[in-house]
Amino acid sequence: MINVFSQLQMQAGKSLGGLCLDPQNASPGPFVLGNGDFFIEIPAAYGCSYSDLTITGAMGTAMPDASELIDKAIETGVESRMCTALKVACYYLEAGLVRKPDMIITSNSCCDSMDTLGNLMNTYKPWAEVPKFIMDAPHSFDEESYIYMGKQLRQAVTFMEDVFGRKMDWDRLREVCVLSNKQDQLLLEFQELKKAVPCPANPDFSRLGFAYDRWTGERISPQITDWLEQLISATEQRVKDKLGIEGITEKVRFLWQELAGTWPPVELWGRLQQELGAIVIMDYMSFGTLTPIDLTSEEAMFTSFGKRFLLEDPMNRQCLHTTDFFCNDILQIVKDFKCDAVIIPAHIGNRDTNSRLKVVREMCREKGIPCLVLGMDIWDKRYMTPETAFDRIKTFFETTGLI
Amino acid sequence: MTLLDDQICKVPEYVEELRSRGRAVTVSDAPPISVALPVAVGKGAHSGLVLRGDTWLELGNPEAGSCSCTLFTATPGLVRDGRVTVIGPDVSDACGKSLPFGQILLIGGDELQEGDCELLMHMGVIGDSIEGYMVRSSRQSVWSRISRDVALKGFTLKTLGRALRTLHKAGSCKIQAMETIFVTSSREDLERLAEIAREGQMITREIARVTWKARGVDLDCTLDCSSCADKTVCDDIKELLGERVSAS
Repeated sequence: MINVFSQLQMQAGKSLGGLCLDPQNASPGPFVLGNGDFFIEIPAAYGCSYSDLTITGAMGTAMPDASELIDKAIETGVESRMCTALKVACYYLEAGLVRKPDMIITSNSCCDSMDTLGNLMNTYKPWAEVPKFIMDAPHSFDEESYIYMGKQLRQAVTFMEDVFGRKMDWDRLREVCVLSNKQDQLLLEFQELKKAVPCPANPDFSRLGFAYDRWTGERISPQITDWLEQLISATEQRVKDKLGIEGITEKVRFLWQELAGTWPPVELWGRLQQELGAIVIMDYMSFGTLTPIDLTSEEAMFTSFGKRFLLEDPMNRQCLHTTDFFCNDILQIVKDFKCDAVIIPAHIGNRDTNSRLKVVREMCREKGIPCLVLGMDIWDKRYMTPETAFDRIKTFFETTGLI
Repeated sequence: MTLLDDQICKVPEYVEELRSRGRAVTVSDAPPISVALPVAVGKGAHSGLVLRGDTWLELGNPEAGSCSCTLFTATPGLVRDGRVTVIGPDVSDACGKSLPFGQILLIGGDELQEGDCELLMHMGVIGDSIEGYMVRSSRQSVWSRISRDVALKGFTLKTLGRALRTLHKAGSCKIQAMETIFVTSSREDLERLAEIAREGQMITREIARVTWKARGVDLDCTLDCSSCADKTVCDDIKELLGERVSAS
């Protein structure tokens, strides 16, 4: 019998399949292309497609021919240490495989590889006449920065209106934001439930829920609200019944301080759960800090968008700001979610995180938190194989006495 | 005089301002820490979780308004140890409600220094340390739930203030005095508090910058100086900038 969690996983997984190249190229309506998270409520309310080429590239690394794609990308001459997901995105672009967009919107971002992709999109000759809007994201998190970023997002709306010759329906945007606020509260509710020991449901539903809610064709739709409600009801029941993840005896809870990537959730996390009872309670894509959009005025709404963009988009939160900020989040997650250890995958393309390894390691030592740094490619399992990663993590848990 | 004393001195003015606007202000002095609390306090006091259906009261939902700050001083005389001030409705008056929430923690200790800032700020992460009280993990400000069970056992904001004091004093022997102010009256009342909190935050961020600098990390840059290949170039630029500033 298929239980509710399997059904939810299949439903979201099917929708996430639409983020691959071919379905993205077949997106309906005006086609806006970007190099990162645009504020998704805007295209959802405007009624245009928004395709994030970074995500499309990342999805490419999950394809059966991923290794071949990655190798072809390297042959195009991209920098060797560039994030592999972005290498694939660059390859898609350079090989002429991406549908010509009606508009491009990019921003300088937390990730140098994403910046490279943005520059490539903006200078790609066959798309020379495509209208382009470039946002400037400040590397700070104060009210002034949110206002500054919000103003640019507002200007992006005006730009879209000019390009497509159609005005934004502000009532529709408000409706979308009301629904989005509700869904964000539900995502945060699920996050809180992960504090229960044993963890009542696969914690990776946070990441899945976030991606389903923000990235897919069904984004910010009533189906997502239903999906989240079902997830929370089923999980709350397991908390009341003091049950953990079905079929798993929880022994170790740990923080995976990195993006999940494509192969680790499939080929590593499941095995760690099954064989060692070790649960990835949180990864940094899952750590939700979403503040409801302030709907009191248009200005307040866009300032909220700015805050969300700079501080609450998971990757921007972890990579755009200071080491102090990064470390504080680790400590808060470890304490709140009762993590026994921190594993830093040290993805080769994430230079920002990698520059902080020494500091994080020292901090964990000071606080008595077992910490393991791996050094893998979360998009290409040839760099460190799932078996090697498993063995290293197992040895780490054994030597620290966690198993 | 320490860095946050000005902000601490603004807190009584803020409380008086709200009193003069007719807000209900309740002031109480907590008994010594040795007197037992009506709820368990300490690591593992409960699951750290209060489910939606078990919630008596929600505090600081961002839609209702939330603001919190921790201010510390090396002049303990500025802090009235054990005092808990509540402005607005208390737990028993708010069954099923979602109230705005302001939380000010004033901490005093002769030996407290800027270097203690990090520890004091981390003490604000409550986790599973107060029975029936869950602080959500998603925000800088406090967004929390009080469970029906503890509300019926007599949990009040004074209880919360006492519990926080117990946890803080257990967390650092340098803390001699701790005073707590809670605001639940209105979102508007949190605005003035937000100004004080912002000033405090600017100072604590600067303290963090200096603390990290001493560890070899420059927060103005996201890289770790000790392992950065560009450190020499960066130092040269800083030196040149310094010369230009002093020349102008």
